[in-house]
Amino acid sequence: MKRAVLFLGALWAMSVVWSQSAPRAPLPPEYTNKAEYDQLYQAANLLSKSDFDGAMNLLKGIDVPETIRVYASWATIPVDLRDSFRQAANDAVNNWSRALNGNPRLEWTDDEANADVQIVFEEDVAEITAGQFRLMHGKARLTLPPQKGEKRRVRARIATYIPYTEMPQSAKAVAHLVGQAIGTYLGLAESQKDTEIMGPVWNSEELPTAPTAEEVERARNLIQIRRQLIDYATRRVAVYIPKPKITIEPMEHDFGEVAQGDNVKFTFKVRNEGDAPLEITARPSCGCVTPHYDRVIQPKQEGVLEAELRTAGFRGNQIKTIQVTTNDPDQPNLTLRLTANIKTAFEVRPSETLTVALKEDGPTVQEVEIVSNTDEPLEIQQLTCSAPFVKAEAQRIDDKRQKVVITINPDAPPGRNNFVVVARTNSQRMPQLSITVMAEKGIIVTPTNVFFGVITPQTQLPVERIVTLARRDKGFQIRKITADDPAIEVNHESMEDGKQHRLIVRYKGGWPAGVAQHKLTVETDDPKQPTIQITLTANVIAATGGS
Amino acid sequence: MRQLAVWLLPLLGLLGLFTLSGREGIFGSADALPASVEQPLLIAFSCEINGYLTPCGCSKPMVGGIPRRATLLKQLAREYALLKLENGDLTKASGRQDELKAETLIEMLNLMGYDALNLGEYDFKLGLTYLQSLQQRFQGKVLCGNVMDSGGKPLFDAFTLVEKNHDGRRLKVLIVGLISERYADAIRQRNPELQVIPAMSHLDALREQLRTTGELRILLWHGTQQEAEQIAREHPYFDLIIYAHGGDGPLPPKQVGSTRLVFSGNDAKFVGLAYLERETNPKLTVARIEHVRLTEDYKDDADTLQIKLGYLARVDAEGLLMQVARRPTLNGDTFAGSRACRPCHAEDYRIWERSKHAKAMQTLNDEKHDKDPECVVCHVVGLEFEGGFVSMEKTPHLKDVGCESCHGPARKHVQDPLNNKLGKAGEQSCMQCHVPAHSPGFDFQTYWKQIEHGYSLREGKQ
Repeated sequence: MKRAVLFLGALWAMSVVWSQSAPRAPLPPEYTNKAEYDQLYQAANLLSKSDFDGAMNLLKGIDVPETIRVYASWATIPVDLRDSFRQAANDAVNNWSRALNGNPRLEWTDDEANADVQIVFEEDVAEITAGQFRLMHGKARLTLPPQKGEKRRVRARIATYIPYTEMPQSAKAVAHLVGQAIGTYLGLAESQKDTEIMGPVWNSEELPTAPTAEEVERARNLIQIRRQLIDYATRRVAVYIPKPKITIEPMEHDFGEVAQGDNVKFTFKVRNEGDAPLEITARPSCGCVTPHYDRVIQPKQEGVLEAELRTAGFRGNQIKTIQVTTNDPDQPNLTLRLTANIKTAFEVRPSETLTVALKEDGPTVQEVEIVSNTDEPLEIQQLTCSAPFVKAEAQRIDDKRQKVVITINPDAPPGRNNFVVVARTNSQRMPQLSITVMAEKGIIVTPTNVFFGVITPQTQLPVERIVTLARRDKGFQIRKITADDPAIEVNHESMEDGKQHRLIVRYKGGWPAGVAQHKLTVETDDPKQPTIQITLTANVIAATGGS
Repeated sequence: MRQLAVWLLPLLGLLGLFTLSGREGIFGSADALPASVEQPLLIAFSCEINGYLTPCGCSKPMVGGIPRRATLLKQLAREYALLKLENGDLTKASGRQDELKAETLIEMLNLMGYDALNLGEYDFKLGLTYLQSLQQRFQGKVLCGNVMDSGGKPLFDAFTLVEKNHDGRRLKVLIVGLISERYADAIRQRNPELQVIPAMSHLDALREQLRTTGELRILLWHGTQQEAEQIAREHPYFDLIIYAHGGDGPLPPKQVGSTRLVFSGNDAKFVGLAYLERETNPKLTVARIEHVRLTEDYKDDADTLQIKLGYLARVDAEGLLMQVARRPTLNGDTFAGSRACRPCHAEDYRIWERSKHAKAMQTLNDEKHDKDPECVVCHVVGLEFEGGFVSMEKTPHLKDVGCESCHGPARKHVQDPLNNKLGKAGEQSCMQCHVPAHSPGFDFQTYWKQIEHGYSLREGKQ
């Protein structure tokens, strides 16, 4: 036992010594381009876990070469603007060149495919973000290996005209945007400072066209960081980075059975096992869950995430989730799960919605059971029905169960009848409960209202819909089908010994624009339903040709 | 009301014409263009729309909706060849309104170019005949291979093979659609003649055919995650299993052998995206899964929104608001309208008059849902009760959320207040309407402060 303790102690001491002696990984600063920041941080993280191959996969080809070759699409610039734009672009490249002092060098190339910075002049540069179409001055996009080939590259699109106007961009703006493209290639993120080349572009003659000394310093620093990481990966040197490490206990909680309307809470314990502050945000999947939590948890400290579930309006098994986003590089997203079986005070068995086929020659009786889910005895004080041909009565089975007998008289009209039986109970939580009954009698038409949809000039004609006329107990005959408009054509098929009839209804085109409403009349041999009317509708966007 | 619909629909038609000439109109969109062979394949999946065509708009911001989904898919179509899959439960199938929603959703799925739709138990609740009429209208493939008729004949296909572009070649994708037998009772309740064959035995019978068909195999599984795991273990040839009933938010993808199990939440709030490995690998694999939350950042797609407006016009034209089943009030009384409370409760009336409750019907007018019974019920007094709101013409005094929405019908109280006292309303009253789906930020203490009243009586200042 003692030996085991000594061994574990030695292991712990070794790990402490290692973490202190391993070189600290150079981490990308905040001014790094977002795509590159993520990739460098991830590479450093892999190095800290001795995953040298994984790190090298992310770092290979990421370094800035000694000579950066720049291409621009001069031919796409309108002739009258070409010279001034070309001069502006030249100025921008020269400004960066001077500032970098040849390390790295910048040179123009006509080889677009192999250029490191590809500048494309377009009449308009548009961006669609989340469904919104937006014109912009220009946009430089950095792609890094291993994505999209094995080359570090920037593709910058520059608008020749000021967005939403017919005025050409100023030469200053062009120089600023070309300078920004090179800055992006060097790994810099956009800046909010008006004085910086990576700052915003606006219609002004005061736009900077050269990088500031600070921006040059940042670009050099990034070159150093890349080379340092590549060096560690090549020499297979494990590094140390301070990072948070999240653990949440447990990841899932089952509230079990909960009475509808109750609010229940559970506290998840969140621990930061790492050596950098842990930042979290929690977003529930449903408005019924409210998370209260510690947003920052210091290293080796524990915080809480309390989740409150409001059950009003829910019933049955529910699964709710909370998405937790963290700055732990190994676990950036976690999902917590809350489950509950929400019970109403009473429930109807087999179901609160019933479909009943009515008898033609006598009353139809349907029984359901109302069961109490609580200790409270069930009492039905009143039963009411929303249709005159229905009666309902309650019969006590025991303290917690009552049988409801629903009787539908034969005078119910043919077709589909929907009605509700409402039981008034003794419960404060659930003073009323409803049983919805869909009663079908005689010939049932599906659907009773045929919608041909939105008819545009591009809609392929004819538009076909199927209408079914069915009767469960016996067959019937269709004697005649009449449409009130010549644009409608109907084919009829009889199936299952006349118990089912399919009408294939075709709209051939020709209705004027607007809402079209027509009727199909079906004559049958059923004395109780000799005539059945079916509505035909369409929303015609523009007049269609017709066949 | 119907006259209004007759006016409204041509207006929608004009709106459509504007849309067609617009930059993002469907006929000029990237979606309508044939996908480039060079584009990589992307699988867009979702399930359990549950009738949520759009967020109701009661509060902002709200997440989800099919018109936003259409916008997302149009954007993605610029870079990817899309395979679009829906995994059942289009609506909750609770009446005529859900039938109209189901028809509307089929129109929307057609517009977005969905490839396959697997059926859920709620879809069967629409009734087999109705379901078959929807199947006829759907331009993709309706799947659900293990539901049989009384003679043991399958009613829907078990699988379909589609060809899609992927990285410079044509790729054959097998899509299988099945439902869990745990929903057999729910299916048979509406369709007693149907049988549900256990999915596992159905898959066993099809094993040889499935494992040798297509280069990428996807199962649309209308069942739970646990069941999907079991299928993945016993039928490891599936690359992706899209399951259902996992809750209202996306769940982290799970790997079982070489099969990825995914779920993207319900109520049309998210779209799941499965990206494929792009390396020229003889064995295609799912590289990563993403769930896109349809926030307000996604603008409604105009063409899809137009279909929704057409649906609202049908709800109006069929007079669904007039057909709401009515039940007697709890205390047997009828409604008097908020103005009847004013003479004695002037102070409270003034507070109410300035509240959002007093403009509730206007909110619905703005959102064009003023004839939609699902919405109107929470914006008027007593829609579901005898003597409650009927229409703006017949019962204007009962429009908006009034005193009786929370305190109950008060005609007897108005006539004889001392002998017919009304109960105090509490949090439970609010929660009849302020449910998470429509009022996600509801907190009783915060909301109560906005309408706090009742002091005039307590202080004897009637």
